[in-house]
Amino acid sequence: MPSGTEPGSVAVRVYGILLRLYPAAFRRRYGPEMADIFAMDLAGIANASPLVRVRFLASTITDLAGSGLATHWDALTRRARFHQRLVGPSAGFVSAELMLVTVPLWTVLRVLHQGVAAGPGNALLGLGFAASHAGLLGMMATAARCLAKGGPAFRHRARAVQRGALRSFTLLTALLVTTGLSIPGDLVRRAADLGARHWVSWAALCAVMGALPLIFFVSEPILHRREH
Amino acid sequence: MTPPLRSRAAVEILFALAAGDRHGYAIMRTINDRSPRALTLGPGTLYRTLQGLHEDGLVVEVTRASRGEQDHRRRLYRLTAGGRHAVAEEAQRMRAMIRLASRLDPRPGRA
Repeated sequence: MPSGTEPGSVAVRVYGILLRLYPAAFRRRYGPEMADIFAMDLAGIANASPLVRVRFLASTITDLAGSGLATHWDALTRRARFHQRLVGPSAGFVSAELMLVTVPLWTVLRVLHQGVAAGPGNALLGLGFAASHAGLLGMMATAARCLAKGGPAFRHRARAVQRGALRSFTLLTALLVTTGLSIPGDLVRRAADLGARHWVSWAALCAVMGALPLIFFVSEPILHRREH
Repeated sequence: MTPPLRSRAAVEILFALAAGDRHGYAIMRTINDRSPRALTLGPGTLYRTLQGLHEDGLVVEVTRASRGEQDHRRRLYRLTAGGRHAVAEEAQRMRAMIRLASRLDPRPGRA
């Protein structure tokens, strides 16, 4: 391999920089071998005519640009296939996730608008709220069980739960922020008043909000370590 | 069932590996020396295709006792049973194509 400040070593360094055109995972796995091959090919044409060298550089650039784009496309379609497998067959999981997000939000809005009053409607909402929390606890238990058992199938399931938790958190945060910005001032005051009087409920809601990303951030390094 | 081969490069790589385990540079040299005008394979196309073949379960990476950094960086690639089956199927398809082509008369007006 060329070394020092020869033109060849500069070309190898430039090639190393151009390898950044590829997705990071691909670069980590194949980048050193690609750079070695380029260096060996370059050494092979060291005494060739300028025309051969120009043709070699042109074909290298064409190869880098073409396969770089194609590799990104491969990675994109691979991710799309993964998500399709993840969401496609588990309609139950998606419904549970939607319930997890919408029922607490609906309950909070209902309480803000009408206050806490006894009645069959509010009892039903209370049941829904409890059910959604049970669903969340189930989700966390599933994630813990999957992480404990290990193995590719369990890791795949743990990833599904993890992504579900993160999606729920994103959706719930977006809905709460949007609602918070759109509700009138007196409702905000009422919410603060309710918060002061029913602090346990608000603490529970905050715990739910905190638990969702926690599932993701706690399980991510464990899963990453087991996969690599 | 063997997945369909994605490209000409995939076929060439599988045929190069049918002769035995090879590292990336040896695969590239085999292909480029065998068909210099028909297909010139660069490192990017080579490793992208190898990645696809690996995902399809046709090729595996082989680790061997390290003999220095250079050897460690140049991993060997080997056909799996599925890869050998894909090579056999492709060879059979090519033989059928050659039989068909040999019966054709390329002169204009002749079928």
